[in-house]
Amino acid sequence: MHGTQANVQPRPEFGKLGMWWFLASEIMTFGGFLAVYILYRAASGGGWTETAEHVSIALGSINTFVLLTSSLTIVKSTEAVNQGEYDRAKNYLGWTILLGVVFLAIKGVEYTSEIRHGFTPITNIFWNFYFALTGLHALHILVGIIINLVLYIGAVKGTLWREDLGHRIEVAGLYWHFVDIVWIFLFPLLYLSY
Amino acid sequence: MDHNGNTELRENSFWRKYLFSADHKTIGKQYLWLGLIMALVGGILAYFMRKQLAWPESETLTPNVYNAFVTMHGTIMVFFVAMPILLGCFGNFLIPLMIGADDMAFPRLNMLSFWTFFVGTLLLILSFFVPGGAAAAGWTGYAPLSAKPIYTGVNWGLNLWILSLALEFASVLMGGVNFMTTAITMRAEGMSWFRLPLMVWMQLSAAIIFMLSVGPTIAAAVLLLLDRLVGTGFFVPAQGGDPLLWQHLFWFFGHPEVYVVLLPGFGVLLEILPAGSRKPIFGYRIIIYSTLVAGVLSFIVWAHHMFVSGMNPNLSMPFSITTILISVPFAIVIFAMIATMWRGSIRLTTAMSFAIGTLMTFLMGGVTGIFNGSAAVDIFIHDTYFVVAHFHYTLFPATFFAAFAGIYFWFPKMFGRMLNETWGKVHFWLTFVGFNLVFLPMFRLGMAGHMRRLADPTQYNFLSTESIKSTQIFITWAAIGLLIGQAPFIVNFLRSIVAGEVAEENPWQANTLEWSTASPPPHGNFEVRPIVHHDPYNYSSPDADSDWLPQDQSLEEITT
Amino acid sequence: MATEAHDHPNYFMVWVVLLLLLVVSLAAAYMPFSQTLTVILIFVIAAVKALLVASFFMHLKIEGKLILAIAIVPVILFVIMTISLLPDIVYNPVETATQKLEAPKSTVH
Ligand SMILES: [Cu+2]
Repeated sequence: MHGTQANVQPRPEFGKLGMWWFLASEIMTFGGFLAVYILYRAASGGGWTETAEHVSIALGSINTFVLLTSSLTIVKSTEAVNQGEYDRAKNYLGWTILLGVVFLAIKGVEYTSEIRHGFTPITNIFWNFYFALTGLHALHILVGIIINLVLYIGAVKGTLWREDLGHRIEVAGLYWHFVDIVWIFLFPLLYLSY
Repeated sequence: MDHNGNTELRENSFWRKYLFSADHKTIGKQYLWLGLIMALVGGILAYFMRKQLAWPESETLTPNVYNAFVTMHGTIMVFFVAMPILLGCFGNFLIPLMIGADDMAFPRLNMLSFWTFFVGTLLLILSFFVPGGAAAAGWTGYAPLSAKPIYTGVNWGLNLWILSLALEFASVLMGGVNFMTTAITMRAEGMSWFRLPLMVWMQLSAAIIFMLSVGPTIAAAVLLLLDRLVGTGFFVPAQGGDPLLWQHLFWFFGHPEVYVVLLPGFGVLLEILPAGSRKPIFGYRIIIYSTLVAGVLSFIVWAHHMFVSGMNPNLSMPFSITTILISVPFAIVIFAMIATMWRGSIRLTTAMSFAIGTLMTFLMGGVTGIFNGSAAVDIFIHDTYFVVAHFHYTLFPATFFAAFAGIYFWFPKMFGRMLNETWGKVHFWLTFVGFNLVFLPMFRLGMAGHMRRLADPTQYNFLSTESIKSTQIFITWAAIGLLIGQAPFIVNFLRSIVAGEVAEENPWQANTLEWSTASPPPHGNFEVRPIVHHDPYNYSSPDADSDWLPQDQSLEEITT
Repeated sequence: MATEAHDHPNYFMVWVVLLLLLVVSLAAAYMPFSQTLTVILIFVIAAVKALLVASFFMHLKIEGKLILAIAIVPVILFVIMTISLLPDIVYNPVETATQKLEAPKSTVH
C-alpha cells in the first residue's frame, strides 16, 4: 500500500462553494415565484393597476436604500477580515444586523397601514402576491439576521476568526447580497409597475 | 490513522455512532432502511388498490380512500423510496468512498439532511391518520382540485403532504450541496474528472438536475399551501388564478425528477456491468456527454405531460420534438451498456442478473415513452393504463431492479457480510417475472381505454367485459405474487446482516476505490489515503497479472 | 478567495452608483413616459443594479468559471421557463375559463 495525506483542499473553500450551490436553487425558487407573478400580471393586461397604486413607494424606496446600504456594510466587513482588522469587521457586521432589523421594522409599519386600509393578504390577487412575495423575502431577511447574529456573537467571543472555520462572514455575505438582489427586483415589480 | 486534522472524526458514543451519526456510511445505511420500509408501505397500498380493481364488488376501498391510496402510493414510491435508496443511500455511501475521501464535505449538514428527511417521512405517515385522511389529489397534486379543501374533502392530509414534500426537497437540496462540494473539492490525488467512476458522475448529474429544477415547484407548493391555509387564489380560477400554471410549474420539476431517480440507477448498472462482464466500460466519455445532453434537454420537455390540459396547442409541437430528441442520448447510454457486455465473460451474480433485468425492462419503458411523447398519439392514450404501464416500466426498473442490483453488489461493503446468492437468484426471478406479468397486460388495458385513478372501472360498460375483468384479476394475482416474491429478499437481508458469510475486501474483484478498503470501511474510510493511477474500468488488461486492476494500484508496483 | 487586498473594487463607489440608480428608477416611474418605456426603464435599471451587486459585492467578477456557471445557469433557466410559458398563460388562443385573468376589484378605497 502507499499513499499520502496531502491534497485536501483548504476547508474554507467548501463554504463558499456550498453556498453558491444553495443560491443556485434559491434563484430557481424565487424565479418560480417571480415567473408566476410576471405571467399573471402580463395576462391581466393592466387590470391590476388601480389596486396596485395603494402601495407606499416612499417606504419601499427607503427600504431599498436600507438594504443596499446593508450590502455595503457586510462587504466592508468581509474586506476588514481580509485585512486582519477584526474590530472593524465586527462593527460592520453589527451595522448589517441593525439595518436588517430596520428593514423589517419598516416592512412591519407598511403591512400594518396596508391592512388598516383594507388591503389584506386575501383582498385580491395583487395583494395575494404582494404579501406572499414580500413576506417570503422578509423571512429570508430574518434568517439572514439570525445567521449574522450568530457570527456576531462569535466575533465578540473571538472564536469567529479561527483559521479552520474559513471565511464565514464572506459566505454569510453571499446570502445577504442574494436577498438584496431579490429585493432589487421585487421593488420595481411590486411598487413601480402600475 | 491520519485524518488530516479533521475534527469530525473522533470515535463516538453509541448514540453518535448509530443514530445521530455524521458518518456518511451510517447516514447512507439509515437512508436504506428508511427507503426499504417505505417500499413495504407503498407495496401494501398497491395491494389494496389491486384488490379493489380486480373485485370491485368486494368494496375493499371507498372511492375516496382509493384516491388517497393512489396519491400516497405514487408519492411514497417516487419521493420516499426511490430518492432515499438511490440518492440518499448510494450517493451518501459511495461518493466519498469512490473518490477516496474520508467523509462528506459537510458531515453535520449531511446528518441534518437525513433527519429532515425522516421528519418529512413521519409527517407523510401521520397524514393517513388525521381527520379526512391522506392527500387524495394525485401525486401531481393538480390545482384547483388541490387548491381548496372542499374539492377532495381532505384538509390536513393534503397540507401535511405539501409540508412533508417540502421537507424532503429541503433534505435532498442539502444532500445535493454536499455531493457537489465533496466531489469537487475532496477527490483523492490522481482522481481526475475523467477517472471518476460513472456512479459518481450520475449522482452529480442527478444532484444538479434536482437543484435546478425543484425551485419552481417549491414556489408553486408554497403558493398552493397559501391558497389552502390563508385563502389566497393563486390557482383558484374564481379568484383570478390559473390552474394551468400549477401543472407547468409541477412538471418543470416533475419530468427532470424522473432523471434524478433514473441516473443513479444507471450509475449502479454502469458499475456492475463492467465488473460482471470483466470488460472495460464501452464509451466512458460518450456516456458522460450523453448524460449531460440528456440533463440539459430534460429542462425543455415538461409540457409533454400536458398535451390534453388545454394549454396552447402551439406548444405541443416543440415539446413533442424535444421529448423524442431526449430518447437519443438515453439510447446511446443503453447501447454503451449492451456493448460493455458484448463478448464479455459474464459472471451471472444476483447483482448482474438484476442489472440485466433493469436494462431489459427499462428498454420497454423507453420505447413506450416515445408513444406518449408525440402529441398526436398521446391524445388517445393520455391518462390511461398505457401511461401507467409506461412509467412503471421506467421507474420500477430504476427504483427496484437497479436498487436491488446495487444492494446485492454493495451489501458486503455496507455490512461486512455477503447476501446469500441462491436466495438472491430466487428473488430476482420472482421479481422479474412478477413485474412483467403485472405491467405488460396494463398496456392492453390502456389501449382498450381504461382510465387511470378509477376506483370502480365496472361502472363503464366497455370496462365490464369478461376479457377486461379477467385481465384485472390476472394482474392482481400477479401483483400478489410480486409482493410475496420480496419475502426471500427480506429474510435474506435481515439474516445476512447478522449471520451472512463474512465478506472479504473485494468480493467482486472490482476496481473502484471502495473495494480497496476493509468491509465495512473504518471510520475515516481509508487507513492511508489512496492515490489513483487508472480509470475505474480496467478489466482484463493485458498489462496486469489478474483480470482486474484496482484504481489505486500502479502497474510498476506489480511488475517489480 | 479574494485575498488580493489592493485589487478589490471601491465598494463605497459601487454603493453610490446603486443609490443613484435607485433615484433614476424612481424618477423614471414618476415621469410622464409611456407605460412600456417606464417598465423597460425600471427593469433595465434593476438588472444593472443586480449585476453590480453580483459582480462587485459577491465577487463574481473575480470568481472562477465554476462559480460563474453556478450563478448564471439558473438565471438562464428562469428566463427560458418564463418565456416558454408566455404563449400558454398570457397568449393562449384556447378559450378557457381562466384565459383572461379577471381584473381584481379593490374592495375598499
Ligand atoms: Cu416527462
